[in-house]
Amino acid sequence: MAAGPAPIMTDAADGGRNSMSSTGLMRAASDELQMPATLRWYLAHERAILGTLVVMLFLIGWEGLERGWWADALRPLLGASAERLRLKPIFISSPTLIAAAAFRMFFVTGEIWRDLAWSGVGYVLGLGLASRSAFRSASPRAGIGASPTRSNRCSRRSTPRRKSHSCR
Amino acid sequence: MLAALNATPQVAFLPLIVVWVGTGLGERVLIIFLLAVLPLAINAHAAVRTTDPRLVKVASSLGAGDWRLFRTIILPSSVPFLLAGLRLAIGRGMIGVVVGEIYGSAAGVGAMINQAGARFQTDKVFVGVLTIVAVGVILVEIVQRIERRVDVWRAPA
Repeated sequence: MAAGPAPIMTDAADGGRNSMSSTGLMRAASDELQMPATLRWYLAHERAILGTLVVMLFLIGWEGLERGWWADALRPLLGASAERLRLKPIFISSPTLIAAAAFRMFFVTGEIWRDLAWSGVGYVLGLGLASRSAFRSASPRAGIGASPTRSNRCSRRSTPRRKSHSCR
Repeated sequence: MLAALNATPQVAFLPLIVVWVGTGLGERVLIIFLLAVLPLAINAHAAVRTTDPRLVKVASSLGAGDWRLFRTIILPSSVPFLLAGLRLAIGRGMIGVVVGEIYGSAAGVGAMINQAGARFQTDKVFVGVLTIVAVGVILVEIVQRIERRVDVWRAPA
């Protein structure tokens, strides 16, 4: 019996199991074309926009705690207890103070470069030593890298010549 | 041995390290080494263990030497493990820098954070912390780029 042409599977025919059918894709594409340009741009950059928004809200909230914005705004509602929302700068700094300190330390006094260099030397040496040691400790397990030891030579079962003279 | 060392809080060795090598560069290098070596070693051992033994056997039977075996078979198959270990080690090394310098150093970002904290200069403390975070993020990003470059031949999972 000759097989006829394969039927075109639609969303309805496959019971919606295959959500990426051609009809569904075409419908999605046409829907997308009918969207306003602003909405299309938002959907394309949704993650970045929402991420930036959350960070901005966090920074504004923090700045408000240090400057007393929230204490001033909520005093009519909470009375004197709203002062608990005003934090002293020695306990928690603010984003603007931190930015100013960073600018001063990096570009005016340059004091942080010396500290960074001092920390960097130790970091590079420590990490380099750790990488080297870790690799050297792992290498003999496969019989590679390090100079051949007795155990390395014995683990190489595919070389009977070596086995014969050193692994007895 | 590695598991036992991994379960040990390596920072607890800091007083001993200070007694042995004093404060300064040696102390910082040693604490960074202690913190960073374990993720690297565990991943390197796992990497070597997961290398396909058939490939090693074939290469050996075709006369590949140790160095060639390493360069053409062991290293390519180990790269994801090694770089994952390196990513972990970068973070732990940062902890080592700060802890080592807080404990016994007059210079460095950790010492600066410690001194600024003692003077209630919280803005300087945050600058130090954010600087360390930024350096860590940059280093991890570099490792990820290297990983993407050297691991391009591997089929996506």
